[in-house]
Amino acid sequence: MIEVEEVTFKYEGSGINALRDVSLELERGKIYGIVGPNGSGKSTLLRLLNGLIPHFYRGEMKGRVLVDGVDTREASVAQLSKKVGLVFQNPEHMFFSETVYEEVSFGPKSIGMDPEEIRESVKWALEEVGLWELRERSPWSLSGGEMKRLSIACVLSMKPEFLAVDEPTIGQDSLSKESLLEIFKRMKGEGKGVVIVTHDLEWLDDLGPDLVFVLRYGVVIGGGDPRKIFSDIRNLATNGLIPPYRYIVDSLLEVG
Amino acid sequence: MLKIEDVTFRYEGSKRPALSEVSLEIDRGEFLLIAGLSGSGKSTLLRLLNGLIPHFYRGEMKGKVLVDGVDTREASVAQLSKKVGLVFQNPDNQIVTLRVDREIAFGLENLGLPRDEIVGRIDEVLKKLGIEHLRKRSTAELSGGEKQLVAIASVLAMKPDVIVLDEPTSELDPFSSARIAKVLGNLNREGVTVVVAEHRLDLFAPKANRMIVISNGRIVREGHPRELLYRGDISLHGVRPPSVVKLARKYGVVGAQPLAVGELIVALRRGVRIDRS
Repeated sequence: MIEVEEVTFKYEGSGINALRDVSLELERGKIYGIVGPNGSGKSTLLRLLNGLIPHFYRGEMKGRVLVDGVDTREASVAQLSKKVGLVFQNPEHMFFSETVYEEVSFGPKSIGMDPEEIRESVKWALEEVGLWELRERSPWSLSGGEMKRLSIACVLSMKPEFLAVDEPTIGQDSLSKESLLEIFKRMKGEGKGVVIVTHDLEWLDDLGPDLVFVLRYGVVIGGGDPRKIFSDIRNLATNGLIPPYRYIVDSLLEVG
Repeated sequence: MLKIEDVTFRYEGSKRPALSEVSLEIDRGEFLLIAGLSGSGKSTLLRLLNGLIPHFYRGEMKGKVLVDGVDTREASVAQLSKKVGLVFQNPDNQIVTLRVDREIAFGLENLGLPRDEIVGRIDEVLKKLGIEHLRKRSTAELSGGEKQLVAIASVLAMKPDVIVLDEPTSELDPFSSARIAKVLGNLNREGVTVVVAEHRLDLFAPKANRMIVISNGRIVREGHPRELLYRGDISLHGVRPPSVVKLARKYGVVGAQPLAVGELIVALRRGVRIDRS
């Protein structure tokens, strides 16, 4: 379990808190959606979960984050990466290996997995995202959707128990968005905790999250059952979010 | 006005052609929406329209592209840019100056226009896009959506006959995306020809009067967006009808072929009224 306890964080050099008094709990075997307008603190929240904050991003942090009871400040990022894998918005900016297989092996090697385990976990990760057949290809020869899945495999290969993903659907076409739905649902089924930051509520609705949190100005202003969150049309709209169409239609029909 | 005649194009170093035997005519005043999966050939098609292919991208090209009757191979990209303005996917890659008004002036200065004319055109496009307040802002501090509007403004200021956009909202949040779609709809009503490749059919299909679907480098469907999106078989090419279409099917109002949420609501209310009477 991940427990975020009353965390306030301010990036170095910034005048305002990126997060204010944020508390939430994330469990295995569930899918969480984190939504909010640009600059609301969504990405900052993700960086807290795997220790990038405070280990890499400097700033002032109050409160604490516990991953399975361990304070992230007391664990290294390498240790945390076995618990919480973070997939960035444009991870393809970081591909540097000649083959897909090598790219996915990099993470496990760098956290010191033994060779046998690496082979096994790389194969598993590539199969999970449907790229095993393409393992000898160059990452740069892949389509946008395949690159996105490769970036997920790179994180899965470290066998994290939580998968945290920043804006997975940005720039993706409809087939890619469908395959991402399948991957994340399967992860949940395998008992992993899946945390998705997104603007794309239509897609998030298709994913069927267990719980959705709404962020604004670094504060969690709502959290709960997705039906409750998505049907609050006015609240979503004032926060720069477009509710799933079926909820818009339902609400307009009720009014009419 | 734009005419693609039986074009096949293969990028240098690639085995497969990116486009195969594509023919397409685009008339003045149209709003053409190009749908298709990533890698289907949408960007290649757009690059043909302003001469980036074959002038910048190397490869083997068959067939020809005519812009107002002029073969793009015989015109320079600079000449073509006055006719066809291209806006790319990622606004960060298009902005070259530090301030919004300078950004818009940049292309105009390169056309060698007098100062008064440049200032006048900057005023005009800022107003047209509703971004007068951004005039003196630093381009570095703009949001993604604002950057994309500035990129569109820079292209519009050159007064091209056609504005061509390659997935202009793919890096943007839903509100900014909706704004871009609205702006393009308005421009089109004012007479600008718009050609846009997009995945966000929910936002762009209601604005378009014509749609094509590209798959594996070929145009596989062509027609009015209502007609194509309600026929259903575009799914074979990886293009999914937007949610409004799915909801219209669910509620049994496909006859009205709504594409925008507002149209769906109207259709539903009518449907409800008819049921009650």
